[in-house]
Amino acid sequence: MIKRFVRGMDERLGASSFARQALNKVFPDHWSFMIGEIALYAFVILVLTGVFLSLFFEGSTGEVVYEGSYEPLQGVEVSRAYNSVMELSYDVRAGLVMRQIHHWAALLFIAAMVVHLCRIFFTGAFRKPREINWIIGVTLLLLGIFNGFTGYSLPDDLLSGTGLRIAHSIALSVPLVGTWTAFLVFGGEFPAEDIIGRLLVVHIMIVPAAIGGLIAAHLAILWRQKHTDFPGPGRTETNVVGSKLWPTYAAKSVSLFLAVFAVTALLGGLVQINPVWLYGPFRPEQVSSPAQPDWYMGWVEGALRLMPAWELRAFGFEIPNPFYPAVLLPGITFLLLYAWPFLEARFTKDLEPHHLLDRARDQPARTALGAATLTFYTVLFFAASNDLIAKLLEVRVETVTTIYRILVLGLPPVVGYVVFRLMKGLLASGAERFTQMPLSAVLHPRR
Amino acid sequence: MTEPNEIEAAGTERNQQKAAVRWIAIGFSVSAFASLALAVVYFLGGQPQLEGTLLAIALGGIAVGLGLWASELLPKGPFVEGRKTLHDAPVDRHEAEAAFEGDPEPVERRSFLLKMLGAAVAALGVAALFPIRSLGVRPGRELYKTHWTPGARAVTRAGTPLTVNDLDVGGLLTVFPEGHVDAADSQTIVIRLDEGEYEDPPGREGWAPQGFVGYSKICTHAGCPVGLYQQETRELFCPCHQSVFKVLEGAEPTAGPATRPLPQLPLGFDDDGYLVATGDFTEPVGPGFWDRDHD
Amino acid sequence: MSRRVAVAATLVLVLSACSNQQEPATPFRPAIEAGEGEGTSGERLFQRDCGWCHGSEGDGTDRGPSLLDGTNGSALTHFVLTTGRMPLDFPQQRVQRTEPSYDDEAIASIVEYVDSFGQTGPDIPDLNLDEAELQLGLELYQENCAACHSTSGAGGALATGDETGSTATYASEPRANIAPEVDASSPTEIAEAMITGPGTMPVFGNETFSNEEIDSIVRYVVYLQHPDNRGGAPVGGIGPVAEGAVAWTLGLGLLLGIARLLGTKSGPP
Repeated sequence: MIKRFVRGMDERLGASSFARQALNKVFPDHWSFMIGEIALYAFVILVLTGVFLSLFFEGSTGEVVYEGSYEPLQGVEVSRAYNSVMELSYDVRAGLVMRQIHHWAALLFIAAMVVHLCRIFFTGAFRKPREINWIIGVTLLLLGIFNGFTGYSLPDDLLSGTGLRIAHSIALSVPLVGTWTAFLVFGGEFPAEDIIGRLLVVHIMIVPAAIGGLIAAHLAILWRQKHTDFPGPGRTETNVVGSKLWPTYAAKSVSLFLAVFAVTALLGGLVQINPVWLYGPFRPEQVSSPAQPDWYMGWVEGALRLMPAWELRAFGFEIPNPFYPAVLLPGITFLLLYAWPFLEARFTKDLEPHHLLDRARDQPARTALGAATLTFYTVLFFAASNDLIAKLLEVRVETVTTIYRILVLGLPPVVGYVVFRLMKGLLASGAERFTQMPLSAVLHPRR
Repeated sequence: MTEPNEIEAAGTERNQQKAAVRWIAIGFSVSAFASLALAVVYFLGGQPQLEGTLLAIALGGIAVGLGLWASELLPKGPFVEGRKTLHDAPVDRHEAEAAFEGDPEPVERRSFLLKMLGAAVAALGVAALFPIRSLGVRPGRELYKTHWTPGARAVTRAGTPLTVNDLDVGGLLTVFPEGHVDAADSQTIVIRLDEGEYEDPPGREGWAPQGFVGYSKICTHAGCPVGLYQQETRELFCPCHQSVFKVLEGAEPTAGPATRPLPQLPLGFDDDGYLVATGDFTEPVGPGFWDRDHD
Repeated sequence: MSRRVAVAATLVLVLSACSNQQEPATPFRPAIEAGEGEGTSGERLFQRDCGWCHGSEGDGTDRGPSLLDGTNGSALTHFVLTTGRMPLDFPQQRVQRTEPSYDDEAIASIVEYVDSFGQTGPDIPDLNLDEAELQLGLELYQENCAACHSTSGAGGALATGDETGSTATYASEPRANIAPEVDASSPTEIAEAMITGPGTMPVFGNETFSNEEIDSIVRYVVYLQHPDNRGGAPVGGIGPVAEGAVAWTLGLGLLLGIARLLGTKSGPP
């Protein structure tokens, strides 16, 4: 059978030598190299469940009377978009579980990308020749966050409507072009009727196609450049050590795909996510508290909450308050992310290609900078739940906000310094692990 | 001749493999049963928790089986593959450069033509941008005005107009101009204060008849509805970014990121005793924008 | 409980922030002494447990507000007693739902006694939930209640910019304002809270809403206590924060563990 198949393919495509090479391709085995795969498979699950959802969702804000089986809404006027999500959740068999798997997969898709990015950063895997893949990866993260937000906005429930309201305000806040941008994107003053239909096209066609294409490029480049590997016995700049694609690595990878799907299915079945029936249909004058976005927007939300009541006004013009935390900060964030490989190469004057990875300790400055940056965004992320923390601990919201304002500026340098000393100490002592490192190595790293 | 301990090792490995085969088979069978159960659950009408759990078991069973198969039975290596340098020989690079240069035109003529081509493509790009304009209406005056007009009755979402007896002291309602209950920019919060505890700020005399005071419900920070009224401290609170506005002092912000007070709607009662606006807001409502003060 | 667990993950950074809870200095309410058996009369209980702060005539002291104005009346007295909000152990204590201190009979007699001072607020409302409309209740709840109490009824934090603290809570320092969850309230308590506006809650009384509207809101709040949730564990009803915590800990945690098992590093070639 196999013989006939191979001969058939070879006679038509001349593919034998490529197939042999491909099947024998060696992949290194470290577990952290599979984090990117988790993101990839989450995306596959998003496409699979998304196709199902798109067959039922109606991207329109036109009014319709809900007549499904959720009692409190029966006879209530809702938008067609909200109505179709309610039908999908309560009256389409397996619809709710599909919706919930889709949403959980989205949260995990972006979470896995962030961890993958951290792995790449702290091991120096972005260095020459892999800068192109770093740029593609950062773009994928950006598109993932963007598509997460558009998906969150589609059901036209009260929470997502509030999110869109804030998005409109953020667009308005851009100097010079803000009003035009907001009016062109939404189609007019908030809440413009066109926005849900437009978001649908963006969410199910444009961005997924872009993500799919970029993932293909990401993998093709990975294939061409071969995987990096951690330094170790027998691992050099000129070889790759690990399992062959066929059959071992392929079996592992398929197993991982099914595991990712299993975890999202388990969450989708057992943990409720985005209960739009409780949020109710969007009405512009209604709001619910607490009001948070999905986690991947948490850092922007936190920045909006921590920003003091400052804004620039001069000559009768103004740069409104949301511009700084919600436009400037994300802009700088992604600019620095894109530029990092080139900044570091410039700074270290290291223009050589690298295939063996750094351990975090090998580059104490990079590791410390990364840890400090990560701390900054983590504090912002937690600050997005300042009201919930205040309620839980029964302290004033202002107290929590003040503490976070101090932490967001004070904690990163502290973390950076501590990490720097630890890394130096680890490197100097030659210990394998933290636990084996003598304390003196941290205190006096030069000895 | 094989050494005894090698035989022993081979024996252990055989036993391990036997155990692995058993577990892989169990994984696959569990998966198959879960899939069948999933079909039954679906056929009987579906139940989200069962569907999710069974799907997870069906997928997880195969995942466990394949994972074990890969780690216990398949060739482990480790295998080594050479890593060639990525770049080609210099001669290839030069030939690629030459191929790219392409035509044998004199440099002067070529650069002229390239400039013209560039201009044509740029013009085409600008022309292609124009359809973007079709996406939305011109902002124009939209952001500076709402649907409130002098004499417009204040009605609830259900369309009910309010008399002085339709709101409790210490209570609040969200109102719209009559006939425009869908006008998001006109949403206004009307609070009934104890008559006498409220003093009109200068320039707003008579805007709050009988303790009825009206403020735009749209937060001046990021536009969320400021619907949370704390009666004890006479404060409005925005749940999105925690701005606080003082009702007794012209809705000045006292906490959070908001930088401007909520615009106040001048209120009155018409001849039939219904609550009306005596004019539009005197400044743009909602979040700030670049030329907000260029009314 | 699950709400606490879910949010706990978001708290690590502020655990050191001290709460504003005060230690009781002296108990204002002496323990009930043995042998005081028959005393369930409203007057005796009021003078023993409430007069400390509200004054023996109900006209207020510097420790507690007067009961002779505003929305004070049977509904409010009944509400604070059945929800255990009153009596407090000391005047600075946070006013929140606890186990009631008295049985129904004792509460009724205290309510009657307090009313004898002169009632300015509404009576305990008569509800007719059988004819109340769930859909109208949802619309009115979303429009008027969800802003503070959350669409899920989970409640939320409020904030005051008032550095001196609220004037009427008799707290010695500014404290957190909270819109409580509505999961434990009885129908009568829900209606009483609406028409009297206890604490910092606004008044949604009979001028603002008709009896039918109040009934329908009550019916929807009662519905929210056991909603038709089909998605699985509601993780506190607080939305994306809890969901994000689950995604990172349970979801990604599991997946990284699985990757760790699958991707065991091979030895030297």
